[in-house]
Amino acid sequence: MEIKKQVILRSVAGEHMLIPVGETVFEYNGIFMMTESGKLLWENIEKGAEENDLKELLMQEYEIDSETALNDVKEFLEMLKAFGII
Amino acid sequence: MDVEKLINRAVVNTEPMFSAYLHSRGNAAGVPVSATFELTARCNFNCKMCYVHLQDSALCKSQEKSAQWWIDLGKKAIEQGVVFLLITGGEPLLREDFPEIYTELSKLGFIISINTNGYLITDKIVELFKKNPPTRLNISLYGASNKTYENVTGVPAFSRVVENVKNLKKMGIDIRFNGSFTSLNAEDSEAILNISRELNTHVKGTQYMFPQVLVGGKPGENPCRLSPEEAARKRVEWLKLIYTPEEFEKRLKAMVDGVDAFRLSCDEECGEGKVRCRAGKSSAWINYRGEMCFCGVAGHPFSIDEYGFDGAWKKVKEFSASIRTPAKCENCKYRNICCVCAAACYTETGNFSTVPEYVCRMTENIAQLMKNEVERLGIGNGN
Repeated sequence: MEIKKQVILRSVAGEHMLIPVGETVFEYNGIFMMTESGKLLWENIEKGAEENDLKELLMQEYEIDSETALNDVKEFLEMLKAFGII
Repeated sequence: MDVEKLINRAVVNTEPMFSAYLHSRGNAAGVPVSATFELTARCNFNCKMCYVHLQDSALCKSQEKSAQWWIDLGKKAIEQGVVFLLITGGEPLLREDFPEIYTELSKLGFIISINTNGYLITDKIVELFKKNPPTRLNISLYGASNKTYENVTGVPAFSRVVENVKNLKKMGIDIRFNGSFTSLNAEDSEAILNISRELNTHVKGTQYMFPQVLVGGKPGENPCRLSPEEAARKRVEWLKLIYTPEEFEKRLKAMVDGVDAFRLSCDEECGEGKVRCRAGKSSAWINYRGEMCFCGVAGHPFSIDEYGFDGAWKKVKEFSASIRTPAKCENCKYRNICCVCAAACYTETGNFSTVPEYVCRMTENIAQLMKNEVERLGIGNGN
């Protein structure tokens, strides 16, 4: 999947966030806070992971079943799509 | 639809929740979530009330750090956890290498704000901001006419600044006007607010001016600031202007509740106080000489060349934690509504542990004026 916006992942004081940079600042006057699992998913999206890869990652990392992992991945990706980030 | 109410809401500046949250996390973890880079102390204006006013421009320039130094510092700041970066001066756009510094810093992952007087928005700067817009430009608006500008800054710059603001707004840049009200421009405060509404900017008004001890001024002195009584009057006037009647009434009630809450909670005499704000807890200031301070107006610097960013931050944290402010302030019934801070104590009196009488008088007058409003509106006991 394609990352359409200029954002940088930062982890500060135990919090994870996507910070808009460049022209993307015009579109978002703020940051996107992320959970630990959101951070993991984003790092792998940056590496080119697709939906199924992300599902496998969540299953391994959090020892959850396939359906739960897929639902979580879909929810996360929908959120990113809603903001036009991917 | 109550358009006036919407407009009023739009101009009142409040900190985003995520900023307050991250600073609270930074305070707890000792992480510098925000930093200020004071690129220069030089300015193309000559404002008599400014805390970096009256410095030798050539000497200041010779002491400034290079563009590469600031870019490297930005990378270290990212490693240390800085999210919010304020670029300031003097006038930062006066540096010929500002585009180089800003371009590199804006790639690193900060949320960047810039303090500027808005005069030097050249075509080159406009192009720069098109590619890398700051999250916010804070533009000091010194008056509502060229005449007031000339009185305050020495330059009849009002028309040019307003034109620049219009262009920046067209580009989509978020702008906040900072109004610093002194004896030279306090009568323009309502007009400044109206300009802000017309141009759809945020606005922040400040009636308290710090003494200029950083540039050799005497503690407690600022040549053209308002008397504490007049500053209080202008403060309350400002609050009435920026809020709707309903919001102003809420603030009045909050103030009365704040004073009462303190009275009720204060069974025992409090000891000395500590730094109340984020200075040296989750916020650092790096001056144009490359020294880190806990606060921009109260000095006590640590050289970054000597200690490094992380070493200087440790020193700044230790220093901030060591500061003790007056016990009298901690026990004052107006503690919850007073703007006193460690920097105000230091710049008003020359040390952190003496009560700043100017601030006391200003707060007492604000309290009295607000009490008058409470009585006028019949919304509380007004005690």
